[in-house]
Amino acid sequence: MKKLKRLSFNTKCKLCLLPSLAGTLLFFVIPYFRVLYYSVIDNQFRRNFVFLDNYIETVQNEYFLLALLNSLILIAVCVPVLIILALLISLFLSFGIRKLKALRASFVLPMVIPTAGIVLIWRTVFTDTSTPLPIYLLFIWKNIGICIVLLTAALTAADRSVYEAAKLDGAGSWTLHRKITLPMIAPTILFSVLLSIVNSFRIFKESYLFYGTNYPPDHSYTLQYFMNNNFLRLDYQSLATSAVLTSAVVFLIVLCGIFIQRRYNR
Amino acid sequence: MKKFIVCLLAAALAVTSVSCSADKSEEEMTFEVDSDEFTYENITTGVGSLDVDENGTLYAVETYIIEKEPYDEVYDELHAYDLNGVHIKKLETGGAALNTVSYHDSTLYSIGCSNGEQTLSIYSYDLRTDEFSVFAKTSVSSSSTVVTNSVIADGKLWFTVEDFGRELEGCPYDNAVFTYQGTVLYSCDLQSGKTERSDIEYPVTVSTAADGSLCVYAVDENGTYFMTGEEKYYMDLGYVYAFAVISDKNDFIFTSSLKYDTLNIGTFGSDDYAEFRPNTRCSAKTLRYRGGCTFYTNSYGNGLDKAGAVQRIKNSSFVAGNRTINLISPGFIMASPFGCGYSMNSKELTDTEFALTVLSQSPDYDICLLNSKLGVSDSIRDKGTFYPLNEVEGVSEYLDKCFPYVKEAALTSDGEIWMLPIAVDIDVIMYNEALCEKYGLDFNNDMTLEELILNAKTANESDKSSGYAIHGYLLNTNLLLQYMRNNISFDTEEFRDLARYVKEEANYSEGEDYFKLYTDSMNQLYEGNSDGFLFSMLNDSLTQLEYGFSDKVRACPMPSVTSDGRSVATCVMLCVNPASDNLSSVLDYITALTEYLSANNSSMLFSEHDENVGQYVKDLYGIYSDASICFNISEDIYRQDYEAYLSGSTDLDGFITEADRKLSAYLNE
Repeated sequence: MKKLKRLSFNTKCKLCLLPSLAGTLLFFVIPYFRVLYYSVIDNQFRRNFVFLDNYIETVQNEYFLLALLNSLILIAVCVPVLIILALLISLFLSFGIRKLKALRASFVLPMVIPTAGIVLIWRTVFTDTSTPLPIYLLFIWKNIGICIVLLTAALTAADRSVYEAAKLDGAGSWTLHRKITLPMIAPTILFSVLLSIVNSFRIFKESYLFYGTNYPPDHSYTLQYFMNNNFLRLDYQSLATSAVLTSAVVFLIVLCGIFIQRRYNR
Repeated sequence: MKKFIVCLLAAALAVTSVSCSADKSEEEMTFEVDSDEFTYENITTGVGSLDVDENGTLYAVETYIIEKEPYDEVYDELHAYDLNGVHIKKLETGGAALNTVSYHDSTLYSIGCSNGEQTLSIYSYDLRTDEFSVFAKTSVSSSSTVVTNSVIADGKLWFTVEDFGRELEGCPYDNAVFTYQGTVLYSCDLQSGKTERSDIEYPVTVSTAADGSLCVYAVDENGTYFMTGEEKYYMDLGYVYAFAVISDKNDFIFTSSLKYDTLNIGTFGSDDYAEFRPNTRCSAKTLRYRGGCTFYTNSYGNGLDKAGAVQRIKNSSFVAGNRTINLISPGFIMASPFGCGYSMNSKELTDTEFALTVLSQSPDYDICLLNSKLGVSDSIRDKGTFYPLNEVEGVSEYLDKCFPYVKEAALTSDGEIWMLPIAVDIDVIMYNEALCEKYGLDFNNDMTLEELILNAKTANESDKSSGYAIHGYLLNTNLLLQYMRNNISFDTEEFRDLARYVKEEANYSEGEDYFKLYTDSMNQLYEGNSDGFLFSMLNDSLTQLEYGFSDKVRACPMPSVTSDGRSVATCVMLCVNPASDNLSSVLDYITALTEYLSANNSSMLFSEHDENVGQYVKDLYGIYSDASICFNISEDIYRQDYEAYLSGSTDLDGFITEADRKLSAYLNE
């Protein structure tokens, strides 16, 4: 016990983190390396090394490329819209109509309503499936709640005295938010962007229920469909390879985000 | 005091040794029989009830019929046979009608009645003195009841009767599997001869437990249960028609609605059971266990044609005491493999559960039960998730006996045996040759789809005194499978022509009356009224063979709509899990199964067959010999769009575009 007391604060923190790290290692890191291993063998029973053959096959697969493209379009279109909408609502909640504060909790509702229930309404409203719009809207509706919560929390934590000082110096509303609000909540915005990107790869369940098939229209065929269909056909190698490639894409996006943030902070 | 303790110890020792010797004698009471299975060839008529004494002497109530006018004369005789099937003697029973026979302590007890009696009597036959007499009279009506079983337990003769007058609606448990038949249980004290009704409200049948006590199979509001002493075991074994307790470890043999005409072995308190004897047909009165052997009546197969033949099998030769074999299947598959004495546990999984179980290399399952119609079957082959059966005893020989296309399907391109085919099914049309000729219907092996439709129209325009049935869904599925055998796109002129014709003439959801008509013509045929049957379709070989009894029926293949004239066959198969932790038992089971299937060609697998069969079965063999097994693209991918096309909610181009898009994704992703 005495020895424990003698430990530095940092060491104690690390010790506290150990259970969580062990869980991460057990349930994420080790399985990830296993998936990496499966992506370089011919099948999981015979286990002959084929090195990059599976990767070459996957990146040449037209449906993988279609799925990747659709996933990236979903990110490019929906994430900016989602963040801008969430930011506007958060600003309204924090600085605008104060009575709306009572409604703050209602924005979390889409996160707790069962997906099947939402999709049922969606199918009634959107009968035209010639565009991916229903899925895009579903994604935004489903994710806007968590973004609003995060951004509102960041705005609430902002130091109000800075705003008072800027107002005394004659700054208008636009200048206040551009010069003060945005820089102050930039890390939260970045986090929301990254979270939304990660969630965009998880829109499969909603999409599957909406279209009711493993083979949705080409415009809505995302990476999750590609992986799920290969899983059902017992093609673990395609599944593993596309999972690794997807994680690489996500990793690159996160790296870019961190890079931008660091540049911005300087 | 010391003397007292010594005496006490001596007494305890004596009691222990006596009980041990008693146990030993019970253990040692195994009949010395040469063969694993034996048929009592000297029994030449139907056996209504049987029992066996401690020496293996079989006592059988045999029923004889003398054809007379105006009514046939029916009478029962009681006969004794030794373990070698040699007739020992006929036991004189004074012409009494005997329903059951039960052996106890050199005496046989029978429930029955003499001419003119309105109530059941209990007769005894003393084997030491050959004296037959009425042991007791009961108040149970002989005209409104049927005696279904009798056993001796706890010093009493217990017997069940089906009481026609009993109100069946009162039974608190009734479902698709179990329906109470109004059975009542009575007992007769073997000392006093006093008969009384048991207070078990809804009994079904009875057996004697290993310790000589009574074991009852009955039902209450919680379901069906077995009761020994005060212990109740609720078990989900379907409707158990007959059972016999075989050991003090709570094991019992039974036959039930789970799988008709099959003997199983189970344990009280466990839903696991092993099928160990097929082609049996015994009732509660004709299933007995003694001396390590099961005695039962068998009216089917095994070279026996006469009804009621009595068989004996040595249980140890047929029951494998290994671990349970776990089967998984991706969805419902009708055919299931025979257990061959192994306890089998089958699980029907969803697609996702199945993929997860297979890909995780789970050691918890042993065998995949697959059907070539399911898209995942060829994935198992292509992805190598199987244990090659090349070195497993009996498998190569078994495949050599199969039709060449079956063997071909069982091999990978590298020559590995990736699966064991257990059944092949082809859709066929069965027709009544004479009636079809009378009505001007023409069924033949080269029949076109147009000719089939014309036959349906002609039949519909007839006086309809003979039923027919076109199974639209089955026909459409067959046409699609035929087309998909050699194509990966619907966008061909061949398919467009076929689709237009089918929508116009063979549209089972929106089409004409002649196509939608469905009658019970098959039931008419099954019940022997061949004049009520014109034609119908059947899709599984087992059921097709069941109609082999009719000499008026012929069979022809479904109309061919592609240049490949062969019939489309679907194959039910077993695939062994290479990661199974029970591999040794599983491979032994596979060997046993190949032996069983080779001896019982009940699913049209083998190219060589008995030539001494009727024309209908010959027709079937002709169809089954010219076929191919396709590992088709799963119907799920395009069927919904096809249905939309047939119902008119989408046009042909819309269906083809949508189905081709999905097919392209399926084939290329």
